[in-house]
Amino acid sequence: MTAPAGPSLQTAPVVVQHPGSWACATTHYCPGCGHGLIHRLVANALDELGVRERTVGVAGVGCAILIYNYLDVDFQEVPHGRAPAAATGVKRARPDLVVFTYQGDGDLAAIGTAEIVHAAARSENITVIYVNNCVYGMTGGQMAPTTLVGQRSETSPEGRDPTTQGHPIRVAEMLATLDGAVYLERVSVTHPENIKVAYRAVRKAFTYQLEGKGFSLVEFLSPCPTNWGMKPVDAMRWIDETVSAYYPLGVIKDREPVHLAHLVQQPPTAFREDYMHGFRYETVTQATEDELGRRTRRVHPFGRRGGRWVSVDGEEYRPSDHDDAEDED
Amino acid sequence: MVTEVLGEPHVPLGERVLMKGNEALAEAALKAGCRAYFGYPITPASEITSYMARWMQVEGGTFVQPESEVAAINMVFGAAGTGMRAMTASSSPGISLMSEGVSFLAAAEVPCLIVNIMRVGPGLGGIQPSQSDYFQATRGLGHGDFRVIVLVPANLQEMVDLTFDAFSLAEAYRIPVLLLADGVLGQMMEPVTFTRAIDPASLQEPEWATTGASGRPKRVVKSLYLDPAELEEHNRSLQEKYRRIEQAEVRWKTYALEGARILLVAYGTSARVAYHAMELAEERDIPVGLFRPITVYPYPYDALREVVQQRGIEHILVVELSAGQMVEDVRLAVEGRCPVSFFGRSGGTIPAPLEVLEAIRNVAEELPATGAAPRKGGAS
Repeated sequence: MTAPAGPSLQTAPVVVQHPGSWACATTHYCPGCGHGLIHRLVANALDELGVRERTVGVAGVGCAILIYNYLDVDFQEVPHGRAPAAATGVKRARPDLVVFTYQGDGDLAAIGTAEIVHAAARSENITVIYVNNCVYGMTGGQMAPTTLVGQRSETSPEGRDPTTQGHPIRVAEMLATLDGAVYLERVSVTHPENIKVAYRAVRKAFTYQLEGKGFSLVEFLSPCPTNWGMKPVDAMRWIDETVSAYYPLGVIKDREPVHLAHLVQQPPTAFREDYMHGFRYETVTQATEDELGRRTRRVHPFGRRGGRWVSVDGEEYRPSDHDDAEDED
Repeated sequence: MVTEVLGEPHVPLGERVLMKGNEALAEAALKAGCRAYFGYPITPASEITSYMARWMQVEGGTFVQPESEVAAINMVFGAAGTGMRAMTASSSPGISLMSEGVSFLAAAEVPCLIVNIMRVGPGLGGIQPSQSDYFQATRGLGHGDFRVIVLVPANLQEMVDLTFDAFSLAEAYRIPVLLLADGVLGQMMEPVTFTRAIDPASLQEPEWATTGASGRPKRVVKSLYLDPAELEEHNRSLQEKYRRIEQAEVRWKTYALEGARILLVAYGTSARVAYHAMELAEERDIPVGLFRPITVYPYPYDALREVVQQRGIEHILVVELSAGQMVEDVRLAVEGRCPVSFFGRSGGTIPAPLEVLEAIRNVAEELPATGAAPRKGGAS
């Protein structure tokens, strides 16, 4: 018996190609890590939407800070947790660009909590790829804000104790309370069906950005076999059986943005009438020149809000006294 | 650049106008082509942010009031990373929060303008004017081996002019520029003239900016270099850039050096007070001159040393709104060639010229007699 002659490598039909947004590089990720898969889904989505040439990614700090080695798009690499702020800067400066952040759970849900909450509250028209592996990966497996109750880590060696170490944060659910958050979905990459769902979520998040709908975030439950101390297959099973029990998969929120036009068009409800007069310039006349000359030896720190007037001889005046004050010279 | 000027400039060009410092600075930034502003409210710098909130959109730019100064500086990173002229403004505690971001901006060589309208510290301190962030500005603006150009105006026209220069310097050297003023300059009113307005559309997109990899290789604005050799090369090139800045961009002004035996050294608001004290000293026949740095990084070490040597300065008196910070640079500059004394107020009090005059008198009493009348010009 000989094996049936199959097509040679040279003549085989091409079934799968590298996406154009993919930069072929040797991976630095551990065996069984989820980042490679998730990178690939992002690259595929950028390709399918045809936006590679106008995309700027913002890399958060963590294992995936080197995402710019794997994706062939422009990138900014920013301080730990600040990616949503930097992405805000990019998108506001250049609304024509497609802007996404790629952040881990330490980056996004601990040090960068303020930045992600307020980017969502402002409904920044960006896409956030949030990779939750319940642990600080790059620093060696410390407890993350997402570490499950009872889960062991470098800094919760007896398992996370909620009485002293708090409860894990469900980011998507937390952000769902914000009117500015438009689309939030939690996905995983544990098997092909989940990967398909995940890809659709990523594509949808980018599509929403192209449609100008506002803030979207896709939360990935991702395996970290190295720091979980598991074989890759066991890590995938642990996500399906345990992690996704606490972090349920599915669409957390998907609705039209709450940019209520009638609210925006209303005049400001409370407004200091005098406020705009603060932005005032006066053309300098001879009279003001004379007045300025008279004042040159005074220091007036705080304008009309009080403060001190000091004359050359060191005496203090209240502003009300000013007109009566005489200059020494 | 995608933005365009939508409206007429708010303040007309060529007209001498009376404006508050913070607002003049903001207007100058708009006229310098800044079209991205991110600022968190803080006394005594808030008017810059308020002014930008009012006028940035009129000018077709972007304004965001972020959740913190931490976010503000990173929004600057993002916007400036696209090649746009971007800035933020704050006061002392806010600048401390920006330290992390400034280090990243410096490392990734992203040009931008940061304004510090200094208030008195440490801690929450107070809201009165101060110059106690000199160490922070020139030495400790963040972790790592880096520098930022620090400009120190002493009047509002200079603040306006330096705002234009700040963007040019930032872009020429791909470096953050810090405009270091104090609460007096931010809050006072003075006449200023705006002589030009830069159309942001006329600014060229830099060849490093992240604007989408269309028809070119991808660009990465970053500061991570895991290979020690690569990082050392990067740091070496940064240091080489700083040496070029130290050669080419030092600025200072001198006043009444003729015959001076005592030299006042002061910057910003304290230079104004020192100038008046110098005038009072002249009236009392005490030979005093004034040296005023306009850049404090790079510091005019050589210029100050030359003044001391060539003019035969016998004593230096440094005047600051702090417990004594720039005085250390003065000592580095003169290298023991003459005694260096210090007069400063910290706590938010602006010294009256007569207080400084008193300090000058104390110094003058210690000078060796040069004859019957120690008049100005009498020194040989």
